[in-house]
Amino acid sequence: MSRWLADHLSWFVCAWLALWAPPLLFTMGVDFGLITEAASGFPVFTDVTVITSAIQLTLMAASIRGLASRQPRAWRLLVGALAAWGAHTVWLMQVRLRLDGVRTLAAPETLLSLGGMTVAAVVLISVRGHFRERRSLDARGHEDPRVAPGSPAHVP
Amino acid sequence: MIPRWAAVQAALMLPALVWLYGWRTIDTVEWRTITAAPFSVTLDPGQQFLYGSPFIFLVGSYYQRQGLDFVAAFIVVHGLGLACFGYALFRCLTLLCSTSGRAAGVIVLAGSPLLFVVLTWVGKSDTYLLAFYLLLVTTRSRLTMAILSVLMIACHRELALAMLTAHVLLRGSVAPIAIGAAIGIAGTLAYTRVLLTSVPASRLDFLMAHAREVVRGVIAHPAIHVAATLGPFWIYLCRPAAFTVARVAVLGMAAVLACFAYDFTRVFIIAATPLLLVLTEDVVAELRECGGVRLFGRPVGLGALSLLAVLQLQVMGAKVLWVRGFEWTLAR
Repeated sequence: MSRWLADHLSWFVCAWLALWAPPLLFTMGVDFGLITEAASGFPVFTDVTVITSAIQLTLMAASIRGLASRQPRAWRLLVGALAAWGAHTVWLMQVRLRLDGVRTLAAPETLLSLGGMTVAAVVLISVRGHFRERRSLDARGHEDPRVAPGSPAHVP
Repeated sequence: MIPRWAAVQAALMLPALVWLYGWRTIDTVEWRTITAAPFSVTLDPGQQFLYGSPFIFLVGSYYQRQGLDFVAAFIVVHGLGLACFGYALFRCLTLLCSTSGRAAGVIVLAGSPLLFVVLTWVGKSDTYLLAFYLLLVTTRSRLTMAILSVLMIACHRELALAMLTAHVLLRGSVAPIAIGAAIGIAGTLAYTRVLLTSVPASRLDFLMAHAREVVRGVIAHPAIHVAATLGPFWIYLCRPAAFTVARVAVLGMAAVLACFAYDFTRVFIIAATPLLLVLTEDVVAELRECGGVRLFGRPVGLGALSLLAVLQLQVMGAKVLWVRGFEWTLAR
């Protein structure tokens, strides 16, 4: 299972980006005045949740190329993205705690975020070995360098 | 031997074809209605069959809940669909025809109305359906196959079932595809029968309402209906070596579906996509070995084959569409 997850991690990241990037880009477009119809009147690009989301998605996008060739750097970038997601959730939770009290901790959005982060953490831990494995294989020269995992010619 | 200039030719051909065919959006009103309330049946009975293909509407609804308006959500969903289709095609042709034959594969495949269909029906879930299928062809993992089958069924239940059946007939892998299809059908049925506020009219109801019109249209113009199915791509199928029982079965199934949907180009070409890929693989292999494809007793080079791409037409109900928006209506 962990091999399957490692093989398809770049697909998951792409799907995640496809779902999260357009709303974030839309929000940033409004913040920067590029999209005027939905102008909120809030100060430009000072919302911590937008900044942490932007960091998270940038790190995820940066990892895609390395995920295809199983580079340990790509795995570390994803850990960074998870940390940014954590910061985002913590910030949101403290805002909600201040506004609505302790009962917001059981709100569906909070539970969904925590559940999602737990799943992401479990996936990252389970595939970690595959991102180390490649280095040792390279050293022994057992892996065909012409067909890198994740390249179009590679068949998962 | 595949010519070195094939990649340049393919790179020049694709934008030229996009310019020639143009693009059209469809079902924008239905898109707005369904994505605004994806769990309520609010469409006219004549359009309710769209609830049987919930994938793009649920994704569009998600984007709207995240703050995008319906136009932006439409652009994002269908833009991502086209990007996904492009990547999946690139990956699939790389695997089937190798890196050196990929450009030749694009040129051969451009002889079918596939690109025309993808550009003319922006608003349907065809790009996702095709992309998931192309990715399914590239994978050996059974779990991935099953997941992609579920996603295909969520895009379009009937067409996906036809494509998966064709895939099994031509390439095998019954078990994962059957499991994925069963889960997908259960999911779409749960959506239409349980999650929606009322049970919507199905595609079968649509067929029953239009059956007489369909039969009359096909009988009145049989030649143009046959020509519009695969377009110039028919010449690859008319080679003696290309005919097998499985391939004829796939063609027959695609023809039956096209009759049911009263849509002779789009439905036929999508249902026959597994066959298109197999034939493209064959033709590129022959090009690599002999430097040309033997058609009607004579070898034809890749340069001449590329001309087939501009000979496309589409039959859409009683309308015939051609390049640059030219269209005319078939007389009854």
